[in-house]
Amino acid sequence: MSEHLPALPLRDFPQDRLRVRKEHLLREVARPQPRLSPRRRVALAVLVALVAIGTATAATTSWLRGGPVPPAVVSDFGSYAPQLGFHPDPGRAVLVAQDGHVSLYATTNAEGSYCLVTSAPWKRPETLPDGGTCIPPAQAAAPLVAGLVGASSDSVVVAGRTTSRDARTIRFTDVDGNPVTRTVGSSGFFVADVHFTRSPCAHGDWRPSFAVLDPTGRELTRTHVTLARAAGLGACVLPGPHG
Amino acid sequence: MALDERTLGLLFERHAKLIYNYCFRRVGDWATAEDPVSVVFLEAWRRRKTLRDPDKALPWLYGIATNVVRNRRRAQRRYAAALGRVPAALPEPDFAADALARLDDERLVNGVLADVAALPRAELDVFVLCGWFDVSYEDAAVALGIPIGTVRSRLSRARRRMRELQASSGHEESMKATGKQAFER
Repeated sequence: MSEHLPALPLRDFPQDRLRVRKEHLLREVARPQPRLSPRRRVALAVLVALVAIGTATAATTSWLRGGPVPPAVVSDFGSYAPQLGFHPDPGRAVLVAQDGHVSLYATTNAEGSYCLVTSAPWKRPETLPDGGTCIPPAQAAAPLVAGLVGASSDSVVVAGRTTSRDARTIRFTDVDGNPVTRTVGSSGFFVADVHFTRSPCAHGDWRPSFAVLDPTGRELTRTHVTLARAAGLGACVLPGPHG
Repeated sequence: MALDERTLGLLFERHAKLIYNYCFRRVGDWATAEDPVSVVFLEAWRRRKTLRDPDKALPWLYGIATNVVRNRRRAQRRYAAALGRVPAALPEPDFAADALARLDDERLVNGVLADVAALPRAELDVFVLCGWFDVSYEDAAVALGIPIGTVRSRLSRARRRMRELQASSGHEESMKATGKQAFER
């Protein structure tokens, strides 16, 4: 084979540089080494940051659990007007409670509370989207939140949430004083489709007492909530769960 | 073999010159070749547990040097702080003859590096070690962590490719014409 490579003599380090380099090498290997290399330190920092972000994210959203939602519900939450002061997270919407043909969907919002969308026979998200309703954070932190989230000519939808961890059922009375009991759904939410034969304000304000019960029937908390307000001249105001 | 600090010092005394010249033939600049030498021995210290056969310390160092010069920027970044602590060179008397000889070396090596630049990296490593640095096939296999048969086949392919390149460019003749000292193995 004809391999024409120049033959070079081996040359020494420039004068004294060999000694300098050797001394440097021995000094370096004798230096106490950091327990973590810079690369591992960066990797560890990234890992810690990711865990912190993950934990923070989980802490802000993990309380809300529930079933899958139809695309129309996501779209309904997406149509919420931010001018009203809330920014729902449509992608996190879940089904949290059902009562017959009425379903209650919830999602978190940027304000740290939650928003609700109702689906009832007279108001489906795919045919009559309204953007839902959002609960202010201060109110959402209360042991019990309840209010009307829908109404037809002969029924109202009462919905809300309790923060009591052991809550199993909600009990309150309808316009005529008859007891209404519903099972608490996911994440403390509940919904009740309450039918009536007379106006919700037939007896003046409808201000039932809501009792939260544990699995043994023990009362955990009790709150009075105004569901309908007689405004005079036959008018009846139905405030939502946000007051 | 337990590579302690004293042994590392001995290895440096024994092999630094060869590693320095090997690094020079891979980078083509005497001044630039100094830092890779330090990095090779720092890296050797870091990987000291991988030295299994003390008799193969030199090929083991060649292997580390091959990786260091191949990934020079990355390797030097790892030891940037350590290299920053190398004392600056003292002013030296100007040995004009030696300086000129070193410049000639650099011209020669850069010419060869340009010629072999077309070789695939794996073949280039074998070619420089065996074809230019007189490392045995066995030691090259240790250095590069490949079987001897692979060393032979890569070297054979590298030589064939070099012949083809030289034939197609007429470079062989021009190299001879410059009076460069040639050798044939």
